[in-house]
Amino acid sequence: MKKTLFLGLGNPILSDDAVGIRVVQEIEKMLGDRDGICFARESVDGLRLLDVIRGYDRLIIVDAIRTRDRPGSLYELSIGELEKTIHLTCVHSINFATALRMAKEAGEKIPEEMSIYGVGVRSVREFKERMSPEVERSVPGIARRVVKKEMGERDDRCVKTRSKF
Amino acid sequence: MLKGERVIEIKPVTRLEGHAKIEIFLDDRGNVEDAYFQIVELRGFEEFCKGRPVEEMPRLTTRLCGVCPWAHHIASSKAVDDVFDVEPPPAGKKLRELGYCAHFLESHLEHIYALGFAPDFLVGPKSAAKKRNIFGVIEKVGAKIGKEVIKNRAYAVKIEEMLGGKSTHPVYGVPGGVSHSLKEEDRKDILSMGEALVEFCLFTLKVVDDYVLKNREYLDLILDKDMYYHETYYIGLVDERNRVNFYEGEHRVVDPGGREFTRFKAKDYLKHIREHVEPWTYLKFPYLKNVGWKGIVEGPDSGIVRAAPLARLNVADGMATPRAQEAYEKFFDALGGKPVHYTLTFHWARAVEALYAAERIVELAKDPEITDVKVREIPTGIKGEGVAAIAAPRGSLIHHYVADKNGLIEKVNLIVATAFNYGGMCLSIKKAAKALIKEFNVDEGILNMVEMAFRAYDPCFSCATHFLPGQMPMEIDIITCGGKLYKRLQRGTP
Repeated sequence: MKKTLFLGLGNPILSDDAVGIRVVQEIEKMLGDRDGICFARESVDGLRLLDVIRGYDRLIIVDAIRTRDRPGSLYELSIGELEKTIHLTCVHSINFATALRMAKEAGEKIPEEMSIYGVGVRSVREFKERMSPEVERSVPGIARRVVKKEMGERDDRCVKTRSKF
Repeated sequence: MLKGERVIEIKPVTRLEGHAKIEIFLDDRGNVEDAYFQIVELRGFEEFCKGRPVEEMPRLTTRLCGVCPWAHHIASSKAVDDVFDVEPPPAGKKLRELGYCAHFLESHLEHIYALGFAPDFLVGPKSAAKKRNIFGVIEKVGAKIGKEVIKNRAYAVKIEEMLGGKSTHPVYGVPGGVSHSLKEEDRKDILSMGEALVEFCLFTLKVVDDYVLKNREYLDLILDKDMYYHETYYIGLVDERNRVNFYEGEHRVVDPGGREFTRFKAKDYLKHIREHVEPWTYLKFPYLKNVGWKGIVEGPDSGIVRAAPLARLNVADGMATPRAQEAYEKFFDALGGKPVHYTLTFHWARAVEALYAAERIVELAKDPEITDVKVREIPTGIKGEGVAAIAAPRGSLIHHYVADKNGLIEKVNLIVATAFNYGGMCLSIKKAAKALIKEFNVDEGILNMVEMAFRAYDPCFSCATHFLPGQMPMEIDIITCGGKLYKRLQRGTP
């Protein structure tokens, strides 16, 4: 059986930065215990992400992204666009794309299938546990859209594809 | 901007534009007039903490930064011990140090091989930007090295995980010790990984030797006093015999001549360190109070003090482990004695420290006390105020808490490692830019050589400013005083 990881990235105490974590929490509630499906919520980047995703066949990441669009919008990103997200980049560490390539070249088992979602945010510079109201409201809907898209029920209308950066 | 000035702006090309950027001001003739390294901040951490139980701080502070969570966790655990006036038992203290040495290795090895030393020196400072990354390094020294880097870094992470519960955000330090003791089978695993790490760090020092010290061109670059050299004060943590220590000890400060200027315990830091505020940046500049703030200038009259690996070697009389001591002696023999002021030697000093961390892991894993089940002293009272200092990979880190009689936070002050080097980094950027940029002549190689000046410090701004990190692809904009873009240079994502 394929092993799938839903990974929410973000800082749970940095206002909207928590949105990736909150969406994956919601997905976990929706899907419950299922064979081959795991959930993780992390505030890591670069090589540290490899430690989290190693051993899985399929990876679904949800991270925060700042765009000019409405906060709470959902985007599907390609690996080449990771610099636009918040946690797939890092000052000290190498970026996620580089970490993945390193791992591949070293023969490590990393997910062959990967989906990356960004959720538009407003405030990521202030320490607080609450997110902006519009981002908070978007969480259940985004969780449903990601589940639809990833669990076999195609609904492409609900996910924007990087056109509005 | 004054009339006639041109500005070169180096900024990260991320969706978090403006969080850290370099502006280089040129005069009419295209030579460097001044340079500013500006940082934007995250807000409200101190407010966020107020009213929370102080024992939550070791876990909360790991959320300040995804890069050095262990440093915050350990500094915070020690400050909380102080708030509760409790001293961890020997095993508790040694286990914290063990986990922390693993973190040092993880951080230092990544910087050496993937970010700083190897891309700049193994691939070469003037090589094409697309080659100056870990893959360029592997191409230069062989695929086997890439595998070894990943393997040895994974050992360090595994040790962090075995002790901390989670590698990145440890849940280990509790008031008076740690949350669990070390099992014998885990001790054996840690010992074996530690021994492998010692070998890898020895190999790393050999790489420094073979590829840099035997290369006349690189050596000339490192020893170029016009570009990468500042006579400053240095600060670092030392043990009772003045040897480098990451976990505990006193701060020792040496002056630009290498003489001991002062030493102090963490609780006295406010008598020695002040922070200067500039209107053009959010990050404060820590400086030596008893020398004074004289602006971003070097020399014995300027309170700017540098921290991190080179500083720690400069302030210490030696290393506490045998092979690191040999490496320490070789370092100063080769560079003409103490203190060493060459900024690019931070990389070499980092490799010496990595070896010390690996040897210390082996020492601690062999220590009969390390598996003692008494790892915590339960606090019985509350003192209310606690201060702790540790050596973080990037410099000294100070946590200071004030709690009420119920242990609820009233005040938090943190002086973080990267901030200690902020003055030094500003000096380094300006000096390198002045030496390299002449008559509007700026190209990508020059940009990289300016970046090398601050990359040597291994800066991390996420906790320095409480700001979220972004990848550091850099952009230089050369703009005329009329606001027209004259030239743009970019470095891509590695």
